[in-house]
Amino acid sequence: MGILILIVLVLIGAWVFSRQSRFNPAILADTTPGPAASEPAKTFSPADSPLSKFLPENLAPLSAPETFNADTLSDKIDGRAELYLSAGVRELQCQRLARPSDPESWMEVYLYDMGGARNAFAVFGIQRRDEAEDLDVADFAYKTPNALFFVRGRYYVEIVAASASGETAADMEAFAKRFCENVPGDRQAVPEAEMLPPDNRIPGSVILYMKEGFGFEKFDNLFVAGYQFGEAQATGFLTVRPSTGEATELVEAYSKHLIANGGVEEQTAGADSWARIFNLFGAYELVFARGKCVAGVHEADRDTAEQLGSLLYERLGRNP
Amino acid sequence: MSEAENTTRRDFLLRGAKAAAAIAAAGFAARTFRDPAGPPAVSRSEPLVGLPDFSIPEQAGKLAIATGANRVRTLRAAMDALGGMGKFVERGDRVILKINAGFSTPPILSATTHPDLVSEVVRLCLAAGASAVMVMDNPVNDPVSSFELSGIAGAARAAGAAVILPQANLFRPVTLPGGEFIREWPFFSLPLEGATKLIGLAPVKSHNRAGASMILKNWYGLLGGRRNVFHQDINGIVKELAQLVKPTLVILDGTTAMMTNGPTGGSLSDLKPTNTMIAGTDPVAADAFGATLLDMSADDLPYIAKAAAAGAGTANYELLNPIRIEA
Repeated sequence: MGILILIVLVLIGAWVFSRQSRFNPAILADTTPGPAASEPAKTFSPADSPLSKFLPENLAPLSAPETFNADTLSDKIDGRAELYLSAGVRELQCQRLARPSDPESWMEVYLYDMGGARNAFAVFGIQRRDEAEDLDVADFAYKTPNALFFVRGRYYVEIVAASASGETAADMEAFAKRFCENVPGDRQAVPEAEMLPPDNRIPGSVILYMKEGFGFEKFDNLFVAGYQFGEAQATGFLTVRPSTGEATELVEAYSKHLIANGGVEEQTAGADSWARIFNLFGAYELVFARGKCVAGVHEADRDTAEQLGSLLYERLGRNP
Repeated sequence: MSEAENTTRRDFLLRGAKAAAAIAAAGFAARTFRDPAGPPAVSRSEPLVGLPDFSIPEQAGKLAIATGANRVRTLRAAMDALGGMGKFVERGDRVILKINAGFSTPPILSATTHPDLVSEVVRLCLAAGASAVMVMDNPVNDPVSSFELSGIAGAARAAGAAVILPQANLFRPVTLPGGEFIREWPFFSLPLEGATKLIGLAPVKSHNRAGASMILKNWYGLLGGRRNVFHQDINGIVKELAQLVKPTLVILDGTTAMMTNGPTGGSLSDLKPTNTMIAGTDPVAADAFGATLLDMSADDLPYIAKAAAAGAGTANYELLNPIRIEA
């Protein structure tokens, strides 16, 4: 009798396993299509706006504020949510603003609470637009013909206007200034941005990869920047590790990674004692450790790799 | 002494009569409410297997590529090259335009189908004899805001089309036979079930998750429910959408392409004038050509190869001998 019960239990277990393995995503389906289309427009009071203390005198809220967390972020920005989620976003608040006299020329503010200045810089840098104009209104900031993007403390802020005009540009800058007057900055949270050599650096090209820089799983907190040497371009990189020993280990691990992916180590000329250089199908990779820093050059011709490598090495000698 | 022992003959008869009356009333009520026909064989909540096929076999494999900066002019040129809208829309047709109204953003950001394209396609359909043209999408953002701020609602209505917002009662579970993802999933299908033609209208955009968002990815806007779970296998779901949705015509607007920071963009500097309008009947081929406007190839977008392998079209658009026109 006992064996019979065990057999029945095993059969039930097998059935449950079989059903579970055929996952039907429809069981998670919310049968409502999203925000009800017939829902009347929400009423709101400008005083309730989370942005009210940042508003210049000539701007007023045009819509009710919206708030999204990590679970609902894609309801607002769809496929771009992944970028923010990987950088630790906590919350997004949005609201449309306009001059009461000209509501057609509206702008929308996207206020991302990234939980920390490094996270905010990460999403700022990786999305930086080409041909943008740098601004000094915040920790990091730039503008384009219809938009303004900046980092202040743990916040990453986008202001996107429905039209490109001098008036909206002035309003966006006024908002950014008011915001920065009310929220403390934290530019020193990303000192590596200053450790990359400024000579030959392409303006606005500094990016922070929080994880897996260049597809290498151990390259976290990796700062990269574009460099121009005449016609040649290269990418310099830098990451600071907790100890000199860990920096040395990371150089060794990255070297192994390059070799595993087809890289061939070559003898260095000018950089022989402090760097390793690899030929990766015609493009060169250079890497070295100096103190707690691991730095190098990514995807360059050999001369440029050694030239930029030397610049990095000297710079890190001045900024141990 | 018990209650039964106290019951008189008169009480017994009275109780018996009351019980008989109650039974008779219940029987009468049951007879009154009985539906001898029973429920209909298919209710609105029952899953739909597949969607109507809106394609026209005689028009299969057509592709026209018009170049020029004016999207109305390039659209007309592309449609003329395909023989005119009359080849696709007949008198009395009820036409659905599946546009991209995904975001409550202004037209200048090119995150949504341009209102000028919407209004011109509506006009062409009505001129071809359509009895009704309806514009629909299930946006990512608030539906009313998305349709209004994108300029699509105004353009559609001004040109004579109706706007269908994603009301809950217009959704129905749909299953793609053999599908891995689309199994009893809520679909914005009721408007399609009442239509005779379906035209897809999409902009050319980069997409942080899918690589690009064009015609095939735009069918995503027919899904309801917690559809962002599909982002875990975006290529798989787009392939299944390509299998499921068989349009009459697709129009891919590459007048301005969103090269970076898609699908929402936000800055004019994310955009590039690519001055191209693609019209045709093969959604996979349209997307394969559209990829070139984003400085990609079809090989860079895995869902294109998957859709082609599933029989939804061809990734090698040159095999269709596309008609190229300058407008």
